[in-house]
Amino acid sequence: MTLVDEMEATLSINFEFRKYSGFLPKLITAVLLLAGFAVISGCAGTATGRDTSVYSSLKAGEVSDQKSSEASAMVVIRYPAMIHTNAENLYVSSFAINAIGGEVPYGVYGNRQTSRVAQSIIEKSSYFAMSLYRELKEVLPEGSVLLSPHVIEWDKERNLYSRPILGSEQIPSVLTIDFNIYSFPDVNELMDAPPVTFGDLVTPMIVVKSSRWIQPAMGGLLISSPPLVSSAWRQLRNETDYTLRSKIDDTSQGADSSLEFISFLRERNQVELPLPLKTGSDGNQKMAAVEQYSLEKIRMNGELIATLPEDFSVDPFGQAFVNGASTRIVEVLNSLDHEKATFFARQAAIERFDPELANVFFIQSNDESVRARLQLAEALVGAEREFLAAQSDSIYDGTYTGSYGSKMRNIISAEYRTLEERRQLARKQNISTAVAVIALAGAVYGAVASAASTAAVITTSGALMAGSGWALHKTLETRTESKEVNRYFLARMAPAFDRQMSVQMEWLESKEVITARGFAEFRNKTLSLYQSRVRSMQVSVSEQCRFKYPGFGQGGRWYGICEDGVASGRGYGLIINTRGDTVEFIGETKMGLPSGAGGMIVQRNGQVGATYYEGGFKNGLPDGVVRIEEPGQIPRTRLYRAGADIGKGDAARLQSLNFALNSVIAGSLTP
Amino acid sequence: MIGRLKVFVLAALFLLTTATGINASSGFDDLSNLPPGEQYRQLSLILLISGGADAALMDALAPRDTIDEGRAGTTLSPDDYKTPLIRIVDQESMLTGAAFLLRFAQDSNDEIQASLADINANNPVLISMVDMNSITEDAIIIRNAIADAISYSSIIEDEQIALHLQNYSTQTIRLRNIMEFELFDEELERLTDEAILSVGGKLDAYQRMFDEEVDSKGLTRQFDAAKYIFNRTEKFDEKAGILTEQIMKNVILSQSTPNVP
Repeated sequence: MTLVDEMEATLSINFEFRKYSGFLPKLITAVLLLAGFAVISGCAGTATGRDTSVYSSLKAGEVSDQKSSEASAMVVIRYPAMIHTNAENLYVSSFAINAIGGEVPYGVYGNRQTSRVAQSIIEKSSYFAMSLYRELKEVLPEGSVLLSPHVIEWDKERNLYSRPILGSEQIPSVLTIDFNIYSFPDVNELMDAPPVTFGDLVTPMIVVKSSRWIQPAMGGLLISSPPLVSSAWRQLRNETDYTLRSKIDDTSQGADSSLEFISFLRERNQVELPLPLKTGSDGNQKMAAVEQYSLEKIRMNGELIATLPEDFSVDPFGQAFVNGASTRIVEVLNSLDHEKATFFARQAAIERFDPELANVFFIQSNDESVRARLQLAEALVGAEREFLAAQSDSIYDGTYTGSYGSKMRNIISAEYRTLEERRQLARKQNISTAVAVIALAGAVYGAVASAASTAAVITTSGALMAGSGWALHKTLETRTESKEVNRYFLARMAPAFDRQMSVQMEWLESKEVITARGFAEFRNKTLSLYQSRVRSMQVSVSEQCRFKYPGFGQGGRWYGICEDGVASGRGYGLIINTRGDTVEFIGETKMGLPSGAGGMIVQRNGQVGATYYEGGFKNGLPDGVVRIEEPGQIPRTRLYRAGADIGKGDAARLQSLNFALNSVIAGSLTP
Repeated sequence: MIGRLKVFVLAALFLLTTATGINASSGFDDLSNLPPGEQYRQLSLILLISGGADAALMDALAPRDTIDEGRAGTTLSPDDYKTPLIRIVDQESMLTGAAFLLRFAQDSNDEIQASLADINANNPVLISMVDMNSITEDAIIIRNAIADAISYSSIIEDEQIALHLQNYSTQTIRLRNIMEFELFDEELERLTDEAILSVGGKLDAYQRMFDEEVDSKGLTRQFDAAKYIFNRTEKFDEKAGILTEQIMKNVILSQSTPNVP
């Protein structure tokens, strides 16, 4: 319904009232009684939440000792940390339009309070993400958890989007977790049912993803808060399409990988997709579906919240959500093949500085010259991972234990006290108080700024209550272009790192030793070292080799062993037909077609979810024992002949894909 | 590089002049008379030389019984293979010696490993100072010498032996690559530590953001102002009552129709 429609509807209701005025007094009484009842019934439970998260019942287990590449991290945590001034207005209006938990009246869109709530989401997400980082860092191997703070931006082409500030997402990782907290935009509803993050209440949202070769039917989407799942799938599809087309066309521009929350806010009137969902407690865990982490308004321990400014040794968010969530993350990590999960990301990481090796990577060659070069390259990415892990530690220190954390704890504690007072008043179940509760609680957000204004303490940078993200860019805008940094080399080698550097330069320019410059220098030195040490390889792949798939035309691309211009041996191939359907294959080929052991993802354009085949292939089609995975189904082993399913398959005869590059395991000179 | 080469040449000269290699006839007995560091070096060298040499290759070089018969006459030590002269003039002795050396390494592998462990346990500081790269460099030279000798001999005409030799040569390349990787890794680690050290404790991005970009004093003042608002509760009930009354009046007025006569 458009705004005009809504107005017309409202007018028609008023007209009806006038027309049947004799009925009016009774109706008004009924409405008021109902309203009063609604308010009162809300009073006792106003602004309440669950005491514990659904994850809190999980028992913490050990992290499995899986062999994986030293280049890879286990988890990258992405979260909103800053917003550019250009994006503020659109971000706030998108936030109001795409409200989760109810409709927001149009009049609320432009309110200052709405803007404050939108801002608080960025600030508090930054703060609470640190709890998740600390917890995962404690249970996972050293240097395997990285932070990836994002800055929210806007431009004409991409609309609202976010991009990472650090290079953490260029490091291969088994899992990527998008984390943010959520609060309903309309503060008038603050004390009622909608999801809120205020005081002791917190509503976390997460999306957990892996490589699309992990649960290929769902594109690698593993866990999601339900409101984000459709947009997450759409973004995933766009990202995959973009990546595949880039590979076919030999273009190397990065796909949009905004935070899932930002990608959700960007959308307008998009339909909710019928994606198969499952709950964490289901016995149906094997089903190819996205595990939903239901939106839950968690109530943290009030006593801990009250003492937060003085003592933050015990983290109330940790107790309420993070401990359980990290247990679930560890369970997921244990259930995945880490080599498989990082295979393509490792290839992409190597491609940034050694395209020749990246092409050979798909062959999984055991040739000594390839092994040796791969070992050097992975050590290089591993060193970057270590460096970024150190950066993440510093961000944690700054955000949680530094001034930022201190301010946030003061604010959360003050919010809690306010909320407690209002709760006490609400418990009196007095209608006048109850209505006032709603009105005044809503004023909390607005009151801050107005009070600050009255006290004439607004800074020149426009800093708001805890306006890190908001305020920062006011001062930065003038500085962005003022410094010339010699980063041409990096710009050529790694545009994304260059971007990262420029942002960090904005943050920290004029310092003697700064992270970004340190990173640029570090990367320069390590790349020089790499280039001075690499030897030529005895294996090479053809630059232009064709991959074929029945009925898909001739437009396929093959990265692997090639004969007479077509795929012939091991490697990775992809093809897109005119309708936009895609086929990706990794494994053995003959005459350009999949033949032998391999894995294939078939994605029909517009279809929700993909179909994945793993096992034997002949002339491009599944042949022999094949494991098939489809959305909403439990993966099954079937017997195929020339692409036709002819019965149940013997799982013992399945030729599973092996992504492990055994030859990369480091040797030692010690006898 | 030149420095490394100099060290290597000096080490090679030293090894040649000391000529304390394993005599085939004496094996472990002679070794036990050597200083622990030298024992460790010699044993490591033997293991590194023998890696990748399979039984078929050894049999082709000299059958086991031939080696046993000629055991007394075989006097080559591993270090002898580094001398250019022997590589040129005495190919036959070299191959026989190599066969013995490889066989000895294979047959005595467990004993060699145990000896290495013993030496390491008894002399940890000394062994930690042993330059494994230098030993590996020597091993690579010796392995290449052996491989060359085989490739010049008539046994290479057998295709199977050629394959075994290729495998042995690949292992030599692998050894070189591992050695080079360790040097690379050492340097990479140094660079990484240096880079981490240069940002460690100095990044603190948010701290700086507050101190210098956002103006933390101003923020504190704002926060104090916010706290004042949060804690302003004295007349809350009274104000709430007035506000509620106003709201209810407004609701009634907005929802009702004027009673026009």
